Amino acid sequence: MDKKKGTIRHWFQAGWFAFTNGYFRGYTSGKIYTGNTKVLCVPGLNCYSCPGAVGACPIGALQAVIGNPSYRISLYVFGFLALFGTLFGRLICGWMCPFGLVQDLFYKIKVKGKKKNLPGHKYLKYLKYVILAIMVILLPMLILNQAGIGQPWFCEWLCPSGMLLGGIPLTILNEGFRSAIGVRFAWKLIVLLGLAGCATWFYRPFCKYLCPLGAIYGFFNKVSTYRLVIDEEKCIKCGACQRACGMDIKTWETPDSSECIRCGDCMRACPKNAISSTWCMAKEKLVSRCFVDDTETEIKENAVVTNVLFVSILAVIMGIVVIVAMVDEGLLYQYWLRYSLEGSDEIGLYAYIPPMFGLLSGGMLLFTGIYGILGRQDANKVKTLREKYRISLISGILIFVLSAVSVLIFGVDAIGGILGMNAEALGGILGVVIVPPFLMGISRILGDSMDNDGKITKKVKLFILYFFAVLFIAAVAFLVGVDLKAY
Amino acid sequence: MMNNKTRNIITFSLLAVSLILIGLGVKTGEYEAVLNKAINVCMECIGIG
Repeated sequence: MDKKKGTIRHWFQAGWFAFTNGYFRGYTSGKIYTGNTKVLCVPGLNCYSCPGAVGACPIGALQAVIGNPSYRISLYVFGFLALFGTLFGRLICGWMCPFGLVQDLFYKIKVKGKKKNLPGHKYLKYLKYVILAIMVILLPMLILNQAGIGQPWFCEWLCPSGMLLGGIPLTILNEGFRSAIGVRFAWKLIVLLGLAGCATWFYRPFCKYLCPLGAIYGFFNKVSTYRLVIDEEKCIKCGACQRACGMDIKTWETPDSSECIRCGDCMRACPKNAISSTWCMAKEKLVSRCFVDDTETEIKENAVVTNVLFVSILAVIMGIVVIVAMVDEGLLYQYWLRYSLEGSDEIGLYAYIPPMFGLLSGGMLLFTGIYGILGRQDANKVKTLREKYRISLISGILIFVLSAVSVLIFGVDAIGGILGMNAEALGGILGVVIVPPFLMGISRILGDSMDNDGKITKKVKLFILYFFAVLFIAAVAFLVGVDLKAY
Repeated sequence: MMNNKTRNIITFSLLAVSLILIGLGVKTGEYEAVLNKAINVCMECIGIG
């Protein structure tokens, strides 16, 4: 059973690699994928010059934007890093990084004298933070060529993923690249082979000592939605978890250590089953993680009210921001475009529709935010755990779907260069905040019709209705977007 | 040690901030720099040039 779970992780790693490197034509043609999905960062250290890569490497993208004279700091890439980090933390290192998989496989090779750590591990583990600060941020920002462009120092001299996933396949497949091989190629090959050899004797040396992406995600381990939970009553502090841990972490003391890659070996090794993992919204852990303080054992009802208040205030702020953005950069901009530029008369009234949707979205945010603040006490009518779980789960799903739809619809149009659409992209992304207070509002409306054994048919019907309404609005906005794109 | 309530507030605040950052990045056109880099072979990454 234990071994089976460990194997599942390796299959997931392989599946994730295939998913994010699924442009199979690249592996035969020796050319890389050039589609629009490459505007999105993938979570792991996955070189975008891999022939099959369909997304962008966050560390490569970060250096590219920092080295770009127009920006020097990247809100966009930091946004992706914060999003992935907050959702997963270093679970990404354990489950979604191709070079992590490679190191895991090398460590499986049976050789004598295997150890977990390199000598000097205590100090060497901080090296990755130095590499992040110097090679990924400072050097690309400060050392510029004549055109004012900074180089991606980490990719250039240290990244083994670029060599393994990009350099080797492309030079094998492409005669042009093969003829341009030089000293730097040899250096990177030595780095790759050195790390591969090192990974045979030591567990994940690149992740422990060199990876800047792991350093970033490590900051988020303490607050990510995925967490390890120690049952203090069951734990006998035997140290079995640390012995099983390749990263050599005292799990019972620091379950959210910035070094933990969430591989799950400690959970399988614990003789008392005292270690478990949870997503913030997980049903069984909802009582202990979301609605109960560490010291309390009964459901803390006011926690729901506080959550509603927090999200509602956020919704009001976002609503105001979206309305201002829609009026200023949406409607007024379209008006200016229509009447100020020659030859713009051909732009139809269609152009006003997306900002109107954005305005509607902002208005709903504002309205539901105020509604949530006023009706926050009614959230206590949702009493049973089952109801709380259901609301949390449906909120989570809707947030995910809505944000994905918003990014796809508005993001695609923004990339298409449609004037005035960037504001909608912002509004669409911010619009995801609408869902929780809206659901709480529905709870308020139907509060009296609910009983305590979880029979809330009417509410479920309304949820479904709301869900399809959102999809309908999204579909209309998409059609309008496609139509606009024709211009 | 942080209690769970504080932790959850930080988590959801970070999620909101990350989405705002991505939105601002789209607004300022940073995505074009990322796309341009990603759709061309990165010579530095593959050790050529």
